[in-house]
Formats: sequence, C-alpha cells, structure tokens
Amino acid sequence: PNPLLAMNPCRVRFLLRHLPPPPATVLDVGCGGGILTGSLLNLGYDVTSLDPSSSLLQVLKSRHPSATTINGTVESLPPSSTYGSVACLEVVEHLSTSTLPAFVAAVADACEGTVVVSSVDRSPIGGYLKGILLPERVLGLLPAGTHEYEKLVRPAELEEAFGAVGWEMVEVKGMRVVGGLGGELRFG
Amino acid sequence: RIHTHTHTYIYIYHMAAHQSISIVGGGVTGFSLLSILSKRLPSIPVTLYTAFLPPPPPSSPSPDVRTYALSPGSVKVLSEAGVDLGSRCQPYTSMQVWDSLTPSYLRFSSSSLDLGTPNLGVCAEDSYIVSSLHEAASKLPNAKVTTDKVAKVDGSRLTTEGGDVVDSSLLIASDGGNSFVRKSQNYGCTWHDYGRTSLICTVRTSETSSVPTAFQRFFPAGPLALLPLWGGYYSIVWSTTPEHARALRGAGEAEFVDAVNSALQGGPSRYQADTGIGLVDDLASTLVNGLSLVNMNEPLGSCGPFAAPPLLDSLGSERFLLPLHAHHAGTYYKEGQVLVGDAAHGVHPMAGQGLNLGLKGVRSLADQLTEAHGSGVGLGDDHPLSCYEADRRSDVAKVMGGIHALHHVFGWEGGPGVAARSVGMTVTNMAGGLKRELARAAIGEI
Repeated sequence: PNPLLAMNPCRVRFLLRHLPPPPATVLDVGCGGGILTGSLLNLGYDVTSLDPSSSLLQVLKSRHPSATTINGTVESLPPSSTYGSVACLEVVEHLSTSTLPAFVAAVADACEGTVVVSSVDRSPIGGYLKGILLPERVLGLLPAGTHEYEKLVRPAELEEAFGAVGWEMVEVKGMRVVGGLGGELRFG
Repeated sequence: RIHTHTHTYIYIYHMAAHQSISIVGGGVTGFSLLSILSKRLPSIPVTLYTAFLPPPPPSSPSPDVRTYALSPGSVKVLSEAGVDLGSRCQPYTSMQVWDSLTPSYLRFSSSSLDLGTPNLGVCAEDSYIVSSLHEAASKLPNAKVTTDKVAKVDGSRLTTEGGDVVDSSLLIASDGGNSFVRKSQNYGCTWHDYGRTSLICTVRTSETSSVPTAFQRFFPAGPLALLPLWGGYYSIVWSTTPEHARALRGAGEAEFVDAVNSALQGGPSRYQADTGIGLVDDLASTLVNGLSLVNMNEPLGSCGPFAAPPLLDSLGSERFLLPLHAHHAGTYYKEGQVLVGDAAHGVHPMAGQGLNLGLKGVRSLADQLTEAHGSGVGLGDDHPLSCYEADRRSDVAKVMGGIHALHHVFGWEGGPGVAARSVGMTVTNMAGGLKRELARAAIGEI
C-alpha cells in the first residue's frame, strides 16, 4: 500500500473545506507524480502543478496530459504569478530549517487566498514513531531516508513563519488511521 | 489578505473525464448496487447487464420457494436501495438450534438479549426483492438496465455479444458463484465442495405460533432448517448427503412431510456420553440431561423453554436440490474491476449468511466509491477497491471459518466431540453474555 495514495482522500477532503469551489485556481507545490493534481483536476479545479523534478513532471503529464506544469521551485516563480489557493502537501518536511522562512514567504507571495500545508509533525510519537520508524524501518512502506527527523516542522513553527509575513493560522488538524493496517485515514 | 471561506456545498462534481459504472449480473446484489450507486452518485451513469429482466412482483398468497433470511443490517441496505418489504415478509424474533443425538438446545430472542433490533431477521422472497429493486432503480435517471449479453470482459471494458464495446470507469461483477468475470479474468478462487446437497421447498402447517421462530436441528449429515414465512407456510432447507437429498425429493409428498416431521419432532430425551472416560461421561451426561430436562420445563438462567416446532401438514412447493460448497476469490479486485456478492465469496447455507455477506459488501463498496468520488479519486482507482477488500475480506473469512467449524462440530456422531458440543451448547444456553455474542454473530453483526 502506498501511503501517499492512502492519505490522498483525507487530504483532499481537508482542502475542500478551505478552498473556494471549482473552477478556482490552485497551485500544487511539490506536485510530484500528480496524486493531488489528479484529484483536484477531477473535481474541476484550475490546477498549476509545480515541482523541481522534471522526471516526476513527466509522470504527471503522462497521467494528466492537459495539466499545466511548471518545472521549478516556488521561490523561482515571478512575483506577478499568483493563485487563488496554494497547496503544499508533504513538502516542508524536506526543507532544511534555515530555508523555511524564505519558502514560506514565497508561498505567501504566490497566494491570494488560502494556503494549505500538510506535513509530518516533529514529535516523538507522531513524527518519529509513526512518521519515520514504522513506515521506513519496520513496515517498509517508504524507502529508508525519506524523512529526516531534524527537518520535520512543528505546527507552531509554521504558524510563526507565516505570521512573520502577515498570515494567520485558521485550522490545524491531525490525521489518524482508523481500522488498523490497511485501514482508512481520518481527521482526529 | 486572508480570506476564510466558510461555506457548505453539496458535492456535485464536474469530473474532467466522464465516468460511468457497469454492473455485470442481476440478482439482489447487482440490483442493490444499481439503485444505491445511482442514488448516491447522481452524475454518474450506471448500467446493469442482466440475462433477463425481473418479472413483476409476486402476487400469489403463497410465498415463493426462493427466500432469504435477511439480517437487520441487510434490511437496512435494501431499504436504502428502495425496497419496502411491507407485508410480504415474515420477521422472526426467536431462534432455536438443537442437536439430534442429545437433548441439548440453544434458544434466544431479540428482546430477551436486548440486541437493540426489533427482530433477529426477516424472511422474504427473492422475486419480490429483485422486482422492488428494479422498480426503485427505474425511477433514477442515471440508472439503466439492459439484457444485452456480455461476451467478453477486459478490465473495465466489456464487449457485448452484439459486438458493442463499452468502456466504463469501473466494472462491478455481481454475476454469482460461477461468475463469468471472475473465471475469465483469472482471479483464482479456493473452492471447497462439502459433499452435501440442500433440499429446498416450502411446507404448510395449520398450527399457529405466537412467537415467529427460526428453527434448525443439526444431524450428523447436516442441519434441517425450518424458517417462518406467512400464511401458514414455512421454508425448509435440509442440508444432507446427496443420496438422502435425492431420496427425499423422489419420495411422495405425504412420505416427505412425514420424514420432515419425524426429523423435527423425534429425538432422544436422554444423553449417554461415550467419551471412554467414566468420570467425564458421568459428568457430561448428568449436566446435559439435567440441565436440558430442567430447561425444557422451567428455564434456568436466560434461556427460553424448548419449543417443539409446528407439525407440518403438506408440501407447499416443488422440491429443489442445491449442491453445497464454499468459495473465496483470491482477490476481490483487479484494475478497473471488482467482485461483489457470490462472485467473491460463498458459504454453506446453514447460517443463512450468504446474502447478508453480499449486502454488507454492497454497503462497503458503495461507501468506498462515494467517498472516493467526493475526494476526486477515480471510481476505478485501486485505492477505493483495495479499501473495500480490506474491509470485507477478514469479515468474510471469519464467517466462512465459523460456519465451517460448525459443519465439523455437528458432524461428530459420538465420543468426546459430541460430549463437548452438547455440554457447550447447554452451558451457553444459560450464559446470557456468551449467548448474546453468539446471537450477534448469528444476525451478522460480528
């Protein structure tokens, strides 16, 4: 089972609570192979898919030929590029702590309305045990080294980083597994 | 600069790629899915392929021979699908199960065990249910039924005998135990032949009973079930050896009714355990005889008194034979395709769970597809199908295993096995807590 696929419906439902209805514009930061992009396109959103990896963007294009893609980083976007909403799913935990403020500022600049961030909390249970030890080393769901504990971000740190550029945190929600291994992911 | 949107909106989606669902196989499972999915996903065309259209609902006062014992959960699923059983059904509130070699018995009722349901189950005709489902579906603009025959299936693409190629997002196979889709698409299936045959018919009695009760008596070859219908009719399902079943079918009507009556009414009033260990034999016999005898007259603990089933007067229908087996598909889904109901799994009819398991699958699949659709996930994607399998597979395996165990336990004809099961049944009959769990399993809630 692919954790990203399993997480996707839950994340999309959270997004739908905060995004304006389609066909609003959404920037998918760190879109990868396009799991979120695909769902948002299906729901009728006007999606722009951004990723620094050209090979992953090729995978996305093969699945969604009509997708609008940008090969690059959010910091490299021209200042005039803005979108109604920005989604940063499973991105900030891969950045080093020193580059977080610049990243957050760039995301805020690119967004007119709502930013949604999904990440792994830097906590001993949620972050290390459930986010790294179990999936990477015990269950083999993720390749070892996918996440580094030092790079995980706490919600309070994100709130601070966005607060520094004038943005306010609206909602924080955790995700948990219901129904054991192979079960579903729900808010909670 | 911060816009907080608080709005609730109904999930009516404009999917970039037009999606649709094909269902292969009519029957209760297929038509339930047609109705429920069409209702929950109003923008998705759902088409059912069936060999023949359901005939109009039965109107004869005597019940059809093909009936189901629906659990309360199944009644709920059918209700969502638009079936109103009305008066063409028989709820039963009590269940009595007993041995043929010893006087031990088990009896429980929905009220005494505080199960939170008005009854233990409802007996209803297949023909009435399917025609109701068909009628409910005909009112939904995105639901379609066709008798075009399916010649070939490949993923979510089907080819009709007429040569039409139909692509859909998801192909649901509800085409029964000998599923064409499952067989032609190499799902793999473990198949266990019980070496037994069920004789199925209806019978009539002039006795009126105050408490509608489902009766089942276990013989070494298999159980004889007597399920209440209406108008003085009962349903008989006698699972036994193929030779015995054929003999019962070939017998004259009066002879057959006599055989059923003596099987249900006769029996030992005393049990002599033969484990081979004197002390164990004495204990087991005393316990079973003592408690059973007492319970039959003045119930102890939480058991109701043993009730003799009604004496039957005559045959109410033709007698049909059904060879018995259990089966479980190797996987429940492939790319763009999923198995539901008997296509995925089949069990011995002794616990009346075949259709109940199927309808639980219907509810699970409908829930997964609705949720997937609401999250922008394609209907034929692996994720909702894999969640459906994860949800159902272990439940089905558990029920199948439990029934299989019962088949073996009640197959014993003597010795420690019979002693154990008789003592077990007698003790359970008096232990409210344990009996409650058993009752919950019997109505398909575990």
